[in-house]
Order: sequence, then structure tokens, then C-alpha cells
Amino acid sequence: MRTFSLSLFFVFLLFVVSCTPAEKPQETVKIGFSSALTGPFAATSQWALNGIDLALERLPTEERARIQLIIENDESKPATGMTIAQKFAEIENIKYIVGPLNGQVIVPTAAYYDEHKMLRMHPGLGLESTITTGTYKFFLLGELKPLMQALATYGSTHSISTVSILYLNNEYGLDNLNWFEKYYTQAGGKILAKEAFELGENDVRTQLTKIKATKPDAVFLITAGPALVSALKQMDELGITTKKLSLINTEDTEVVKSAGRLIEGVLYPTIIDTTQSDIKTWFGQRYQEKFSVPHEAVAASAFDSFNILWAAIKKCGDDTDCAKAEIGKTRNYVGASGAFSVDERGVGIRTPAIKTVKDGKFVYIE
Amino acid sequence: MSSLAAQLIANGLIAGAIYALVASGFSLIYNVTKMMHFAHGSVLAFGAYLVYSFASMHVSFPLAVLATLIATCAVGEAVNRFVYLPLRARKASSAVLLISSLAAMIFLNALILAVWGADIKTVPLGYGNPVIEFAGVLITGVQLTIIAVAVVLLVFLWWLMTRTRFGKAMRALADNKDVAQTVGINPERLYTLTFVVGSVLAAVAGILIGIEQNLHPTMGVSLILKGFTGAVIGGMLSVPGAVLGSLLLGLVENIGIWWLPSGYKDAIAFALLFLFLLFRPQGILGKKLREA
Repeated sequence: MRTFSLSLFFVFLLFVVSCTPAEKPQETVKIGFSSALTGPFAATSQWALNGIDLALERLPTEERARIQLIIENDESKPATGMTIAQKFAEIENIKYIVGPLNGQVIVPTAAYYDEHKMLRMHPGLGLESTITTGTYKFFLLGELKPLMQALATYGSTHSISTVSILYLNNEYGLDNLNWFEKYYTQAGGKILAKEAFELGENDVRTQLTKIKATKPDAVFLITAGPALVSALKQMDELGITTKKLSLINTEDTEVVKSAGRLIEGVLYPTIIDTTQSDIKTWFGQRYQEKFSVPHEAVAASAFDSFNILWAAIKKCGDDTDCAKAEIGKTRNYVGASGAFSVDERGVGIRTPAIKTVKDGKFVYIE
Repeated sequence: MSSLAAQLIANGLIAGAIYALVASGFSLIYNVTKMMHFAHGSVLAFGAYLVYSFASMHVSFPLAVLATLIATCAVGEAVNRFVYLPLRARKASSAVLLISSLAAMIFLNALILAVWGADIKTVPLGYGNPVIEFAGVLITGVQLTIIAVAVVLLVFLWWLMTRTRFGKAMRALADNKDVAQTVGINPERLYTLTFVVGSVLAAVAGILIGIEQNLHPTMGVSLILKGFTGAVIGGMLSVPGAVLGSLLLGLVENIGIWWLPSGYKDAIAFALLFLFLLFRPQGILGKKLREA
């Protein structure tokens, strides 16, 4: 009888244990990353990944464990970007994406992503075409237009009456060219020459020879990375000593290292941010410590984008309409990329300023 | 001649000489093996990155050049040994060999990206690259060297192909493999030698182009496209012709965009290629093949 009672007790205990609800494990959240990990834009994508890496590092362990980052290489090709979008939607069931970075992928994939209500945080600058395409997207770094307006205004008010332009013949180059031309000619400036070159082209000597013949007050180099270094080098070789204007991409430590003295004095528009914050200081120091180089704007933007996105995911789960509304409410956010608010188009509102390179450092001049 | 026109011709010669450096090795390998070795551009890029690495380690420049020549040769021969040789042994068609060369090119590009990263690299020369002014033309020491090397290559390759036993054996093998074997030529041995010489040319090109331009992992792709175009214009069956064709290509491209918008640079190159394919498919120095 005693044995029977004991057995009954254990059976009861087993029943109780089996019926007690186990602590529900937190669901894994998949976040996609789509950008060009090979080709000319690979370095920029790596900066964005570094920013995300630091954002993950700062999260509490249990939150970090919930996140599964799925990294895909879109090669800056529309077709590859589309395949990745389909993979994210139909195989991985991803609702949130950091990227794409390049306009050539952002525009053609926007409709598909929107159709599936997949929210994108683009870490780069917004172009006219990328800002006006799609709805579930944010460009927290801001947009290109005010930067070109600032540069055009600066040029026209600082004895640069004529400019000849060497531009990269792609969406980014053309957007910069069009905005600059619009604001600069409105301000009374004159464009003497517009010379194009293709992505991956290293030899722009003949374009520069044509530009030299126009004798402009300044040469505007609408390019970035290796092409900017090549253009500066070839300008020097051809004896073009006029003032040089360029893009926010001048603020690239690798470019400064490679171009050396040739980049000194280049004027470029950027985002003014004099706010000091713990997060900004931490990000700058940790980035240098972990990756042995100072961070670029895209890295800080990716860091902020990821943090803002994660805060929205925690609140809204899979509901991207809710997350979009949450991120859209961002006002006076202080992050690694400085202080900003988000406007109704999903674009970070930033204040432009002009900088130059002096002794290898980036300094504000206005 | 105005200094502007002279500068344009100089710009064209510099570009053409760069294409010629690429085309010479590519054409040499094509002549003997009858396969399009598109991975040649990536072997060249490997050479450029190797010289960058050695120079960054403060190895003396002549030693860095020597080490680059040896290592690039090893890379080129490795592609032959591990990619093409097994395929040739299986009597793979030329289409299969072409695809395998594209695969090898992609693999080498990815390897460069993995080893050296995507950032811009500039070969630290250690000494200046003076700009020389002559009759209103501005040209650097490195660019003059590139043009000089292209001219030397033109003469050297002509001499190699026509005046040496190695060149004669190459031509015999290119003409008829079976007959060449009957007279004692070992095709595989000659293929290996060809890849070694071709890779030396790739290394020379990689070193000079690496010093002249910035390095990026896919630099070999755009270079091989222009080198290939130059080789077709000059005559695929003539190695010196490839050098000449490349020089012509550089000149036409650069002089053409003086009148046309610069965005047409590639269009000019390929229009020239199209014209040659239409009116002189054998190229400048190539011989017309008679149908039997």
C-alpha cells in the first residue's frame, strides 16, 4: 500500500511538472543586411557592417542572442539585389533590413520590399531617386541635395565664379551633378565643362586635359574612393593647380592616406555636428580600437540605424507598420552620427557645412 | 602641333601602353594554347598587390620586384596546373576552357579581396615620380617607363616568336599540335613554359600598373577587357600585333573623347573593335586564314 501511494505521488508529481508551463524562450529576430561586399563599393559596405558590429556589441547579452544577422552580397547589381529581396521575404521571412546602400539596388527592389511590408534602414545618403521611391524606408544620414546646395552657395560667395566638373557617370554622380548645377547656376556661377567617366575607370587624363583647357576657378570632382585618388593624382601630373571641390566621400581615411598631400585643401560639403555625447565618444574610441581606423559617416549611420531599428522591433515585433511609425517619430536623437530628427519622408534632418582637409585632418571652414 | 594635341597623344600612348602590357601576355598564351585566359587580368592584379605588400614591408624595391615576378609566375602556373591541365587531359572543349578561365578570374578576385581587403591601396614607391615637361607635354617618370616597356615588349616578343627555338616551337604547336608532337615537341611542357612567360609579363604589367594606378580587387577585370580588345585589333594570332593594337586603342579612345563627350570612351573602343571585326577580322598584323 505504501509503495502504491508513493508511486501515485510520483505520477502526480510528474503530471504537475509536465503541466507547469515552461518559460517561453524569446523568439529569434532575423535582420537582413544587403549591400555590395565585393566590387568598388565593398569598402563602404564594410564600414556599415562595422557599425552594426558595434551596435550588436553594445546590446545586453540576452538581446544580442536573439538577433540573427543575415548578410548578403548584392554586388550593387539590381538583379542580385532582387534575388536577395526574394530570399529575405520568402525563405528567411525577414521583416527588417539594413541596406541596400547603392541606388542601383535601392530603386529596383523598393516596390518588392514595400509589397511585403519589409522595412529598410539605408545607412547611406538619400538621392532624389531613392528618397522618392518606396515607403518602408529610412535614410537617417540625410540627403544629398542640401549638401550640394551648401557647396554651390559656398563657391558662389567665395570667388569661385566658374567650375568645371569631372563626374562619375552613375546615379550618385548624376544626382550630385544635377543638384550642384541647379544651385550654382541659380547663384550666378558658370559651369564651363562637364566630363564623365565610368565606374572602374582609372585613367581620366583626357577628361582632365579638356577641363584644364577651360581654365576654371575650381574643378569639382564628383567621385569617391580609388577614383578620387586617381583624379587628384592625374590633376597634379597635368599641372592643374586650381581649387578643388569634392563630395562628402572626401572624408575617407583611406583616401586621405592614399592621396597624401594631393588632397590638402579640397573643399567638400558635410554634416555639421558639434554635439558631444557619451555614445559618440564611445563609438569613436571603440571603432578605432576594434578596426584600427577612424570611423566613417556611414559606419556611424549604420550604428544609429541599427539601434533605432532594434528599439522599434522590441516594441512592435513583426508589425512593420508599427515600427515604421515608431522610427518616424524620432526627434532630436543623439547617436554616434550626431543629433538628428527624422522628417515625414523618413530622411534624417541634418545641417550641412563646408569642410576642408588640412594637414590630413578634416576641419570645418564654415 | 599644339601642346594640347601633343598632350592628347601622350595621354593616348600612356593608356595604350597600359593595355599593351596586359595584351602581350594574354596574346602569347592564346597563341600557343588557343584558349582565352581571362584570368590573366587577375594574375596581373595579384602581381600588383604582391608588389604593394613587399613595398609596404619596406623590402628593397629590386628585391620586391624579383619576389613579385616569382610569386606571380607561381600563381599563373597554378591556374594552368590546377584548372586548365585537368580539363585539357579530359579533352575539354574551348567553351569549357573559356568558362573555367572566367571562374578562375572570379576566384582570384575573391582571393585578393579576402587577403588584402576592399580598401584602396597605393604602392609606396619610396622615391619620387617626377613630372617631365617636353614640348608642352606633361608626363611622369613611371608613365615614360610604361611606354618604354611596351615598346621593348613589342621588340622582345617579335624576337622571341621568330628568332628563338622556344618561339618556333610555340608557333609549331600553335599551327598543328599533332605534327608538332611528331617532331618531338612536348605540348604540356611548352604550355607550362608559355604560362610562366605569360605570367612574367603579367607580373611586369602588374608592377607598373600598380605603381601608376591605385589597386582594387577587381582591377584585373577592366584591364583584361581592354587588353583583349587591343589584342583583337592588333591580331589575335600575332603577339607583337596585340601590343600595336593596344597602342592604337589607347590613342583612338583618348583622341576620340576630345571631340565626343567623355562618356563615349568605352563606346569608341568597342566601335573600333567592331570596325576591325567587320573589315579586317585578322587584325593589324594577323594573317588571313584561307579556307581549305
